Amino acid sequence: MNPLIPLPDPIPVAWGYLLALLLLVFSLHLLFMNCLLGTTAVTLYLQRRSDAVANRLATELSRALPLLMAFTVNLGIAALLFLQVLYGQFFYTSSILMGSYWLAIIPLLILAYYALYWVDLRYRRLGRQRWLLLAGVLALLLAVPFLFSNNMTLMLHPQRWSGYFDQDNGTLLNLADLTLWPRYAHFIAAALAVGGLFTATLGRCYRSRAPELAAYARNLGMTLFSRLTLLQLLIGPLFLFSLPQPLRWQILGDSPLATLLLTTALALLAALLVNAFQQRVLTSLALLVPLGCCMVALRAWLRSAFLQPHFTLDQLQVVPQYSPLLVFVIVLLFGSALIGWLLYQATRAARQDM
Amino acid sequence: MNYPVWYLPTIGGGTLIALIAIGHVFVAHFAVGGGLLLALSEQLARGRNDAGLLAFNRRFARFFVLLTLVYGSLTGVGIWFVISLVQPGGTSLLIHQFVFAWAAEWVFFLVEIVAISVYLYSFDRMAPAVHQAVAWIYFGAAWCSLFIINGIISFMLTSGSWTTDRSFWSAFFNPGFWPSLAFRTLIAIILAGLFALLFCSFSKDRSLRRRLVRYGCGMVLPALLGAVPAAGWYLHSLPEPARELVGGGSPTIVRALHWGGSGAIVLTLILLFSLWQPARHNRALAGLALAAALVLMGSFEWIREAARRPFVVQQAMFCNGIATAQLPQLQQGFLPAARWSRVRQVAADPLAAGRELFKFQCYSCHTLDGINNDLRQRTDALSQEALAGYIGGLHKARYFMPPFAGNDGERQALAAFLTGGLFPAFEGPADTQGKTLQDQFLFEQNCTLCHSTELVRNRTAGWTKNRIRSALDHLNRLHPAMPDYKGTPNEKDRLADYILRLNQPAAQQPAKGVTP
Ligand code: HEC
Ligand code: HEC
Ligand code: HEM
Repeated sequence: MNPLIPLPDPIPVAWGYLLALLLLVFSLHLLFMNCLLGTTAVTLYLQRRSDAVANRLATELSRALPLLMAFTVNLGIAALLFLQVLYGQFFYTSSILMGSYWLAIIPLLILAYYALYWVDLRYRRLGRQRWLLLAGVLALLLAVPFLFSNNMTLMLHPQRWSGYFDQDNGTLLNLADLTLWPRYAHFIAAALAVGGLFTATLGRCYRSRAPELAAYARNLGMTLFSRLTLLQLLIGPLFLFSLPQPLRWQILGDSPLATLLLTTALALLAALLVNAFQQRVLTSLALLVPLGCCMVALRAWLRSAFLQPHFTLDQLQVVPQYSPLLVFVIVLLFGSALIGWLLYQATRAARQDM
Repeated sequence: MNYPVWYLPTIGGGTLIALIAIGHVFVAHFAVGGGLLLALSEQLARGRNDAGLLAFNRRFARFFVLLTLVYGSLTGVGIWFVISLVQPGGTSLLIHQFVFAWAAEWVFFLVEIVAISVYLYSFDRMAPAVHQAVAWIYFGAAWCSLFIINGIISFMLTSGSWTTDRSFWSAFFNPGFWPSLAFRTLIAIILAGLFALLFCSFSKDRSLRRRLVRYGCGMVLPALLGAVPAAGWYLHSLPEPARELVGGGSPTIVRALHWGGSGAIVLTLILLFSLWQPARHNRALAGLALAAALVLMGSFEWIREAARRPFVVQQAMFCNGIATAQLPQLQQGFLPAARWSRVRQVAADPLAAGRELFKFQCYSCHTLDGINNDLRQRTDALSQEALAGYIGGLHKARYFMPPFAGNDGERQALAAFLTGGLFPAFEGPADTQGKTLQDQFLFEQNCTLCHSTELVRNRTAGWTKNRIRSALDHLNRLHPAMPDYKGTPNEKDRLADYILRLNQPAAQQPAKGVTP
């Protein structure tokens, strides 16, 4: 065992519950993050068009952006919580090693968030400056996941942590890692693609009121979505081949679970591509969600495989205390009911408005 | 010591935490009280058919979202980020202990986001009753968030019976829970009222302004009145050593108490004036009131943080991440057990060893050549030997510092590093006890850490030897921040002689019989 790995704290319930919660909230985090990043890119692209429909679409999209940001951050917090509970000894360490960059995420996000509100609330008055603001936001939103990918890969490699002994001011990144770049590219391509799908879905809400807008959004969004998803057929294998050989072979057959996840994902992807090129919005959405879940599960499997020589989750000591979990579940159900009611009232109000 | 330390010696982790936390705490309490304010003001406006007030409510909601949802929530994440960088051991303990409390808090936060967004985007589109209900839901969720966070934060200071039973519920409902909740709820209301007062001072509608000033003061003054006993109740719930620190044992806490008290008085005066002369309420006054509240709140949080010292979690873990249970073992030798230290043995490289010891044990509260509690400056006047002696009794001399965890050689290495001195060669055992200490050294080692020789000389000018000698038996009575001196009667005699001589420089020198 690597002597640098800190000792973990005990957990209050069996790790399965915590992992399930992590996978759930992280899938949602990624979904919203994709919508946010991709939609920002689409909105930026639309600034270059002068036709009225494009302008209208950009206005509608820009109204959604601050909300997407709020949910991305909120779900990210939940993922952060469960990640720390399960893998804290790895995650805290890698965060500290890149501390100066890691903390920079907060001011970057504050800037991006305010800029998005600015675009939303002052859309008309901003005129051409919108372009600049959105480009800035996009740059910020590309930097943040890069830092995340750095941390998520650095935490998997305790053998690289000894870099700390020459550099303890928190400026260690994981740039030499071969898997970093394809991994990042994989996330970004997905995000831009999903931005297209989000555009098409949002446009769909305007089918009856503004059919022209809906058609335009669908055409633009689904073209983007299908082409970028096709591109993943290139990036995905690249990522797979950047992995250390034993892990690659496990995914390609040696590990039943990983292989099952990969083949399911590929089957879903095939179906998705067919539907995407035919511009079927809702079917694509319905296929994307399970596909994303498969990918997230595969990613979790990969993490445990990387860490296998050092640590497995069942090494965590459990000091059982289940009553807080029960209270949390009750709060979650109650909260979901409240959110359901709020959303119901909001859509009712929006409909009356039309 | 389980984790590496993110080392920025001139800035200091504490400074980073403070930078993020101060703004966050202020806005986060506003986020709770502001919900109440929105709900109440809409109710009032609709009940009295006051269109001006309704329009105000709407503008205020937008300002509220921009401040709390963006700045407030991201700095909240920021605190998480920074404490896990600066205090990973303590953060890990809190996260693991309270994972489902945090998770429940997250649910309430999600409800808050949805509710306030719906509230903001559906002003004229909803039935008034529904719209008001949305505001109440927001406020309820925000207060529940406060309820949960409060349990975790107060646990850090008053861990109560958790130290023995390790139960989630005794940790959460710790002795400080209810007083702290009461105080924070009142502060939230005060802040909301003050923000409303500031916001309305920009309005051009005079009669609206006058009405709002009356409502605002009506909200803030009773809360302020309630906050005083709540603060007292809170202090009363502190564990004994922390209460002593607040009662005068820590000079910085006493200063913070004075600041807080002044803030409360200024605030009360401004509010009374505004209530008496609502027409003369203006931006400057409102800004001043808000600044006074910031001082009040800041000093409260400061005292809470400082009174927790030397622990990050009371009785369980010190600020530098060393668990109390590990201490006896580490006193046999720290470096060999510190997984993230560059050197494992003092003898291998004493200077590097000193640096690592500073980094892992003192850096969590001290900087080197920085602004915040600079240790170089504090040890400037000390000889290396005196400092090494002082480090040995760190926790006894100053309760708020953790005991030094290491052996004699490590203690010497740290002192050598801090004073820029040389590490004593390690031929014989490096203990100073066997040596007969010179008087001056005795004085330096015990008395010049917290103040200069001049201070002692000036304040004892004209004292008789007896007076000095008896004062040395009860130093704590001279000043509450000064610990009693624990030397032997013989040492006290010698010290008294030495202090007496300080004021008689002429007599000290043998008469030379010089005549002009
Ligand atoms: C829990 C926080 C904390 C830690 C850890 C800590 N100190 Fe301090 N120390 C303080 C504070 C606060 C003061 C200043 C008190 C004041 O303002 O008067 C201080 C003051 C000092 C002083 C000045 C003399 C005095 O008593 O005021 C010395 C010397 C000192 N510390 C040495 C150390 C050394 C050496 C270490 C590491 C082994 C260390 N401290 C670790 C909080 C800490
Ligand atoms: C742990 C810190 C600490 C140590 C050690 C310490 N003092 Fe003090 N002492 C203080 C503080 C704080 C004050 C108040 C300073 C002020 O008023 O500015 C003080 C004040 C004094 C005063 C003035 C009291 C007055 O009436 O104003 C004298 C005399 C004094 N100290 C003597 C000593 C002597 C002698 C020793 C050594 C045996 C000593 N101190 C050790 C913290 C300390
Ligand atoms: C402060 C807000 C955020 C928090 C707290 C947060 C939290 C997290 C956490 C904890 C993970 C890892 C989950 C796991 O490994 O199981 C993660 C992954 C990720 N996040 Fe976020 N996130 C935030 C904002 C964002 C934003 C704004 C973006 C993009 C625009 C983003 C993009 C990503 C990506 C791409 C990953 C995957 C990285 C990888 O595995 O290589 N996050 N986030």
